[in-house]
Amino acid sequence: MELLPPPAPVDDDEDAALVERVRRGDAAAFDTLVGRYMRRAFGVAFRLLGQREDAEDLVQESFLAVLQRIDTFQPGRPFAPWFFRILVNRGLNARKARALRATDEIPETAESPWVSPAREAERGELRDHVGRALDALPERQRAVVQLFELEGFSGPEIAEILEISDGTVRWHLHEARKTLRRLLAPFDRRGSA
Amino acid sequence: MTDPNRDPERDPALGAALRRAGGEPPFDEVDWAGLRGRIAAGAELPLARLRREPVAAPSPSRARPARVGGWRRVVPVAAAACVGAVALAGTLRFLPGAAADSSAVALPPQEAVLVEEIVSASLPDGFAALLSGEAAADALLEAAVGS
Repeated sequence: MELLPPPAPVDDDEDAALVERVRRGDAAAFDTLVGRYMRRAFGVAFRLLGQREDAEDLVQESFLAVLQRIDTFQPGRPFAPWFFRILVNRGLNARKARALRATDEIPETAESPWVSPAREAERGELRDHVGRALDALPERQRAVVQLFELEGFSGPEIAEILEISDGTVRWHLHEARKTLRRLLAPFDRRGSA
Repeated sequence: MTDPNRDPERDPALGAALRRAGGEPPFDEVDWAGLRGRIAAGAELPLARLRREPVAAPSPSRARPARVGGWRRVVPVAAAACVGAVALAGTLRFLPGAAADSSAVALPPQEAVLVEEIVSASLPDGFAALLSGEAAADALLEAAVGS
């Protein structure tokens, strides 16, 4: 499998220039944007949907949605929050649709061949527990804590992605952390966390 | 004291626990070239349309602000105040001294006398005088605040 190098640091001015070229149908500019954000987009998509194939589909759909909505992108504003807003909204909608169709279970991740069965069972218990705890969080809180703690977005970026205020982001984060820490405490004491 | 406007600190322990529980996204399992190719293939037609008819950036007046702030917050309050003022003006028309409601249906004389007798009999003397309009205008106010 071809591995992509880590993406270059985001440069809003470069992104702005690329988007302006995409408005005129420049395929090379669009491909550059894709290459710049696809890895991070996949990470966010995977945390939303839990399955690699679904995450890849979401990434693809989101980039194509960029082209459909390019006329609504406001010059002078950073591209990343606008793009991830599209992706997160689609991902949340997909989760809701899936939850309506079936029980929304967190899928198992790939098992490491170098982990003992006992350790794997313990990890599995933690994974199920945290997975259920995450699923029990309100949608917004779950999105905020994942975007902040796991994807490294800042509070203002999350506010722009989810179209809520900075204060609301901080509140959701506070509530989500409170709940998760309480639920993870027994595993910390056991030393398995 | 913590600055409420500053970004909160990240919680490394919580992040690590969430990562261990949820697992890292399987970056190594993704066929990146294939995904990039599928995106490019899906983008061909939309990009061709954009080459034919480039889209302009939205004008600032069309753009939706990221957050509503400043004077825009006052608009809903001002609208509510206007509605309230109109409602109050409508109510004031029906206070004593206001123009009579021309749509009111007059009772037949016999029934009007009967109603007046019933009302007068069931109310204290002073109050009946107030309702009939025989009492002075400020007597109504005194009755409302004093009794």
